[in-house]
Amino acid sequence: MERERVESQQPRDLVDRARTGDRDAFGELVRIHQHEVFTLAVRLVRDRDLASDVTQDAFVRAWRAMPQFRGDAKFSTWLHRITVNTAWTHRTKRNRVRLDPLESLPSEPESAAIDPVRAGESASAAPSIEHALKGLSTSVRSVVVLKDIYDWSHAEIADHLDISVTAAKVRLHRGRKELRQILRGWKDGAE
Amino acid sequence: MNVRCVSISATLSSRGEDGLTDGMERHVESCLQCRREVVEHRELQRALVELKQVTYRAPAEIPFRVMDSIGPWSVPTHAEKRDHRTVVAAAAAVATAAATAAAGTAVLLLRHRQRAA
Repeated sequence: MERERVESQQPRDLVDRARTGDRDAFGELVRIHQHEVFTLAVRLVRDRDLASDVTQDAFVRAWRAMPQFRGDAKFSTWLHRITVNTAWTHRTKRNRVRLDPLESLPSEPESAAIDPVRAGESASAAPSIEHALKGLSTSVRSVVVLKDIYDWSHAEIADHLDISVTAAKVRLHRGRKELRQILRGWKDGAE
Repeated sequence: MNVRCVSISATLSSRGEDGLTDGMERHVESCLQCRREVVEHRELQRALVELKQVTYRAPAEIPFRVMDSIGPWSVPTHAEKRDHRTVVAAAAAVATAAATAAAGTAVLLLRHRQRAA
């Protein structure tokens, strides 16, 4: 119990030190949070290389914004928001220079692209749903990921993706429906 | 698929099972198509919840890339901020004095020209 308390306080202490410009403390925060930030980035941009760039850029932005972090939200929540904004910026830039949108990238087996940190914890349905998410357009997938995996509210999603709350709800509706259809197609194909 | 089935499918996608009315639930019990929709909805939600536990390993070089990118810059300490404020205040004072002197010189020159004329 005592150990749990001490461990949960460590990131708080690291955040406080990083806010005052302690690079080592921030480096430790990067090591602690890099996988979750990368995971969110992969789910948003669907491209390993781009997700790496988004992860790096998100941490750089976080470092610059550290003095403004007031601790109203959890550090990881704050980091997720920065990651979403960064992913959106990268996606916009990339779409500006590439004529083919991210949706047209060929999907590759998850195992070949990224290694789950906790493979043992990954349940049987998770890989198929992760794969099914790839079938959604970026705008729809982002809403489903943020709402159903990261528990964001419609208002938060709308705010960060610069869309209306109604649009967020419509995209969620469409995304869930498409996912059910994709999964049904796979199931019917297997039977 | 009738109108009620379409409505149930839409409700499941937008609000989940909580959004189903008593009438819809009664219909689900007697409709094979809608029962399948509900089962698939549950499976989907369960799978999405499971994804919360799955994390992907970031490339090993990420921490090094980040630390290289942020450079040696650090957030200024309180003393550094105070020193910075002092420098800015001194620069502002010098700028104000220079502007005043320039304005004074301009006025004197103007008067001198007016007298000469």
